[in-house]
Amino acid sequence: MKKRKSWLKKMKKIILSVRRKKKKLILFKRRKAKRKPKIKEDVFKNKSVQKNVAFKSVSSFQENSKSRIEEEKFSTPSIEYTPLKEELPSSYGKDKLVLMVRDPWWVFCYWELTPQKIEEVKRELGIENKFYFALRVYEITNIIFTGSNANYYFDIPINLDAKNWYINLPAEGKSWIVDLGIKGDFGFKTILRSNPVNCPRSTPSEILDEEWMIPEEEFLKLYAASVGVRGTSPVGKEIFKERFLAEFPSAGFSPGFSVGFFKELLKKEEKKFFLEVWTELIVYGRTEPDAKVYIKDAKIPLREDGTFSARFFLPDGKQIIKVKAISSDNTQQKQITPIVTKETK
Amino acid sequence: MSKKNSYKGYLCIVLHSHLPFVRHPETERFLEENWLYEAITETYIPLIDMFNRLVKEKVKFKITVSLSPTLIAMFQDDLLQDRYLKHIERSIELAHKEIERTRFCAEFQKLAIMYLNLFCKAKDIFLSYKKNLINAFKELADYGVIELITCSATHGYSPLIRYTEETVKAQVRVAVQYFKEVFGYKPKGFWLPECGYYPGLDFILKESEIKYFFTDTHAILHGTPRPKYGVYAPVYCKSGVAAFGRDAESSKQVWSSIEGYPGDFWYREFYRDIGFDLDFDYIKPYIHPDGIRINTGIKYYRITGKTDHKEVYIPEKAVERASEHAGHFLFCRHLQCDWLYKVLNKKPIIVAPYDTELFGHWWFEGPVWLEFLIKKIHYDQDKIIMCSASDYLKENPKNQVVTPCESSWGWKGYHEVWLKGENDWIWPHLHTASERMTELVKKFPYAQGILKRALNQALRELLLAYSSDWPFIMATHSHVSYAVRRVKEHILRFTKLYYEILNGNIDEKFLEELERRDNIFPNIDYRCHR
Repeated sequence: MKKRKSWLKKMKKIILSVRRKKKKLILFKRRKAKRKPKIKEDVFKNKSVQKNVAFKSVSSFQENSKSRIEEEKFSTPSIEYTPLKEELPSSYGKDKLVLMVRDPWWVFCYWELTPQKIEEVKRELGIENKFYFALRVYEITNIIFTGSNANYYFDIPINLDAKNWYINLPAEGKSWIVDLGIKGDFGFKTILRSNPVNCPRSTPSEILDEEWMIPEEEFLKLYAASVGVRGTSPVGKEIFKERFLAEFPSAGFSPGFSVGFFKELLKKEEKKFFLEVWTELIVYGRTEPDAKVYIKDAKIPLREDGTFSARFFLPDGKQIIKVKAISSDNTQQKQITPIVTKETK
Repeated sequence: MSKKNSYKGYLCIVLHSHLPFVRHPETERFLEENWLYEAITETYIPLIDMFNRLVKEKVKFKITVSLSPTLIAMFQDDLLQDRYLKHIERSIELAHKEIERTRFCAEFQKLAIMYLNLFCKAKDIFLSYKKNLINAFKELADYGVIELITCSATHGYSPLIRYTEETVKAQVRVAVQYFKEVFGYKPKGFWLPECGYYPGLDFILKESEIKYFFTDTHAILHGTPRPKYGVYAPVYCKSGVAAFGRDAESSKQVWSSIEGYPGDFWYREFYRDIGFDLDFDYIKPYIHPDGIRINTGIKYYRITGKTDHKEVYIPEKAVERASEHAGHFLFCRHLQCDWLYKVLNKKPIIVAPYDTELFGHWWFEGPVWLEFLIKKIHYDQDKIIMCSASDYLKENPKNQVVTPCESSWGWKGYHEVWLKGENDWIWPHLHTASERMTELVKKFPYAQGILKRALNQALRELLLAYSSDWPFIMATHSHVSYAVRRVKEHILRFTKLYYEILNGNIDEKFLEELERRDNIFPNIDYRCHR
């Protein structure tokens, strides 16, 4: 834990110094503000996790927006399908406890405990009352777990009917195993044991490779660059623009370019109360079925009985709508010109 | 790769293409099938068209295209091909009507004509490949301008499937086998759905002769031991398979809807489609038959700004912006390469993976942007070259051995998107089904005839239930009922088959019906699941 803290400190320093140089503090504050609620939502008890700037800058970068874009794949409106006649079984009649990794700080476990099994356990212990179900979470990093040699463990009282539980871990990058059992004056009695899991870490490894050595300072710089905080990007927009134009004269950057170039360009606001009004114009009439009819000089089709109709988007302003019919033998011609003025107040 | 040796870095652009298997023969016009049709018109055909144009112009480039097996299956499917043709013909009809309707307003009419041209071109290209876009990808791969790879069979999210590892293996084996059937060779690379990696997954890839895969940035940065070159060189996993990490900077420039290029005010507004805007009676034939308004693909406005008020889209201006953005992107890569070259003392590789559907579907100008970028790389500079991961490994075979860290590119960087309150209920059912599949394979290692067919179909249903899209959709709160239905349906179908197989009374009619409906992976072998 200590090691990580010092690592984070260094990391923070580098990111900050780079940013200060780049005068990008505004951006930083914005990201920080964005990060906060996410962490809150998780109710991290572990304070060191909250400070984990390095991790957050890697993974929460664009994820929100990426997911949003990804959602647009499924861009048809969402409709309610009638539920299936058949439902999935609520249980499978098999005693089972499965432990799954969610992230460095959380694991998820689900269980099924048959009534027979519960009865059996109760019978064995001869308990009538005063007991409760609990999860015992063992930290088993780097050991072959025998059931009694965990590095340490902690218990969580549970409601058996919940069928699953999210467990907040006190440390990251460790291995875990969970027992579901009964707890009371007699101590803890295991009923089910889960599979072991290894949780990932959220910081760089402390293990260094002799053949592929890299000095700490260099690695920190590279790390910052990898997560998108590079130290060498030109600072002022002028340098940026100059170099840019020098290298790509054909591109011709438009004015208005600044460090905040891509800032908050688009944010889909939640739809408030709204009103939208458009107008269309229907032009219709009739003539000889074999005549030719033109509206604003474009030929339009006639129905068999010689009637016709056309609808147009009607913008603001004056529309002079010349309607012309020509007889099939091209000897006769008639023209009527409605004039429509639309204005919006 | 033939450029003079003066280049200072590599750019590896990866386009990951995927949609879940959405095929519903039971209904003539099924709402969710539009996901595929929209993607074909707006993304896949424009990209194919653009790549072909570049090939004709003799522009050198290399893009890695990952095609998910479910997408490949849908491209190949007769029913969906015919339905797409009807779909595009309806779109063409609507565009014609729009040209008429907008006669009083030249700026709209110009756009209506643009859409008519796009739709007609889409239809021509679609027909020129005999309705099968796989032919287009094959051709482009033969030209050497794209490298085709694939991903898990139904885009299953491996880090959460691994508690029944036989299914992870089946996802990989079925995918590689299917790819080989379609393209005639095994893929060199593998896209891990959602970049979901856990240590050990690489051994499963190795078994299918996969040479490399992609991960998110922190998978490499937090790998053990510390990676000397960060994400700017691949690492070898203990299995010998190479892992390439995503570059955060280039990703953000394109991905982010807030800071990224796609949010530019001159670009086309995705959310204003005439399917929603126009008078109901007029638009009715072109939306869903039940009167549900859907996207028609005709959109007249540009993003304009943060207001509700939207201005008319001006294509020329948008193209100009795309060119500027391509220039900016390349400029940033140059700075990045210069800096990294100094720091690393080695030519960096910048890995920039994107969802293919970002280009064209969501970001209308995306394909144009990419075309500009490719051309600028080819004509205007020689500092970076485009490459695929295999090209890179050929030139740089010596790399550090590092075990990447478990991670994904989803929100928060791990598995939470697919394991949270909204969707965690699916996992006990899925894992149980997987255990049952393993049990069946053990029990019937040499099945023949109808038993074999039933076992194969059981595996199809199992895999379909595992698409990462279902829990993803549940987590995003839209289309939830469809996703829930799909998971349940496939598990129920699997379960029915499971009992029939165990009890030795296979209902052949039911089996035939399932084979007809869920007809993915025609030559699947149930024994993959072990």
